[in-house]
Amino acid sequence: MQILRCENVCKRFGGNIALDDLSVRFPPSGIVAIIGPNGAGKTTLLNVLTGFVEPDSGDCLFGESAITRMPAHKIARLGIVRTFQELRIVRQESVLENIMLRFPRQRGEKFFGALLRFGVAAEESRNKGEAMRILSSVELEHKANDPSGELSYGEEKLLSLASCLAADARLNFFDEPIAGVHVAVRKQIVKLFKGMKNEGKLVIFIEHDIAFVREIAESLIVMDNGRIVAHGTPSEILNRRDILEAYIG
Amino acid sequence: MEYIALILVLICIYCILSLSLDLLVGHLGLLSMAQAGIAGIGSYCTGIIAIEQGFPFLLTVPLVAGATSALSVLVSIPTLRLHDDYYAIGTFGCQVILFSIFNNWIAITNGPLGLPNIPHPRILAWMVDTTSEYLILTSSILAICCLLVHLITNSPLGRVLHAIREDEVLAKSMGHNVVSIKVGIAALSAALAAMAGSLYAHFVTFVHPSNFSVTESILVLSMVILGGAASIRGPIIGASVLIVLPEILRSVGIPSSIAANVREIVYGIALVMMMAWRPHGLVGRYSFR
Ligand SMILES: Nc1ncnc2c1ncn2[C@@H]1O[C@H](COP(=O)(O)OP(=O)(O)OP(=O)(O)O)[C@@H](O)[C@H]1O
Ligand SMILES: [Mg+2]
Repeated sequence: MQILRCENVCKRFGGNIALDDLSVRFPPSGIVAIIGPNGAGKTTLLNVLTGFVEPDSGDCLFGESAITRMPAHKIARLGIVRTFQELRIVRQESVLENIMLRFPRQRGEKFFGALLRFGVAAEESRNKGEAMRILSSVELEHKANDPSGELSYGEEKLLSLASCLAADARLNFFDEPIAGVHVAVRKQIVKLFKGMKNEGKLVIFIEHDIAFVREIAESLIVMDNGRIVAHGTPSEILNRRDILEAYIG
Repeated sequence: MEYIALILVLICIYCILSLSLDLLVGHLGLLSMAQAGIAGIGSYCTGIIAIEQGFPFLLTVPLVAGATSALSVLVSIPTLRLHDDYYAIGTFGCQVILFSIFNNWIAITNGPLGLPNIPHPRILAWMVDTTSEYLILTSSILAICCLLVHLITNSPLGRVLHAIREDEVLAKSMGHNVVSIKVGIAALSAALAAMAGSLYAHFVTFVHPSNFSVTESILVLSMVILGGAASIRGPIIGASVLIVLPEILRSVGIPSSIAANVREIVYGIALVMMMAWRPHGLVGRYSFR
């Protein structure tokens, strides 16, 4: 099992310390939540682990491979996918295409694959079937051919999360997956995360909604000022007075 | 008849050029202002090779297309790191540099005197001399280019290009090497543009720096935007309209010295109106707004 970990990671933006000598080791599978006040450095940690921000010092490792200064697309190819705090989908393409984009190692995405088309049609129809299955698992199949820019906010969010299923990655990072969504969509997201866990994947999410964290997380990391201030099971941490008073209120 | 064939040849050449630009503008969202300059490299290389070496067409064209796309890779490595408006400005700079090379490197390009006496192409035993023969040649090359662009853009690769156009960060998070894909498409685009330039040089038998100026780059960009970016029909319709338009102006009796200005005014207005009311062009799918 490849374990994701980082050691003594520091990152500053100007005089602002976003990550302060942070070390963490994630379990091989399960659901991990990261909480903490605004500006605690949660998103920055995720960005460092996925190659979108280069740390000033420290190391990140995925199994035996050092991913510290690896370009983001190479990290993604190792099977580490993510969503963004600011919602990102390809709005001018259909809902279905947004899922289709995610299947890894497509022949038709190579230059000569696109030109010569060997096996591309078969690959496309296989992926399309799989994409429709993913869409129906989150009840978006009736919108498959709509431009994804016409979805509601909750549906867009659901689409961005569900598209990670197509990537079939070992590691899935979600930055504030349920911020701003309705209870119905929230239920879908709970189902989606549990499904990923049952397939033996690791889900790591950042969230401010403590009820959601309680409901679904198996492990909890509390961050503040670029450091990890607590790491344990949610029941243990969310009953600690000092944590409750300082970070949750 | 001869006249109509001549216009059709020009339309075919500009179709190839605007299709090549649409790969960047429509499919990758890169507003390049250097396409005429790149076609110019193709034209000058063709002229020089054809005059001095007398190579046959089937050898010249791949040679020129290959050389131009290699050169464009060198140029695109710095410019492709720029985004949006900065990319437009960066390529504008390249266009200005290319133009001054054409105009001032007299030993190679003959400067403002232009490069005369470029021979008509010879394909195996076929001497392509008459305009209608040339029309057969250019339209078949155009058909090949359309097929090529169609295969690339209506494929999973095309989907990736559109994802990059809309959100590079997202495309990276999907595992796509955005820089190398852009460089690859820029190289293909340059090869097609060079082919258009090559056909132009052989057809007109004379190349001059003013054929590859900033205005010309803007004309090609207008063809793409007017017709509709990110489609095959779009650039073809745009190129046809903007080539035929000045001919119509001339035929209604406006002298060509004025027609040139009227033409620019007309397509300036057309562009502004497109941007305001039909940002996806006449038949295109991709909206610039
Ligand atoms: N690209 C950047 N440039 C400058 N400063 C940044 C950048 N990204 C983050 N920061 C700073 O680093 C600190 C940590 O930011 P980060 O986005 O990681 O916080 P967060 O825990 O995700 O907060 P939130 O809950 O509000 O999303 C903040 O002070 C922020 O202003
Ligand atoms: Mg954040």
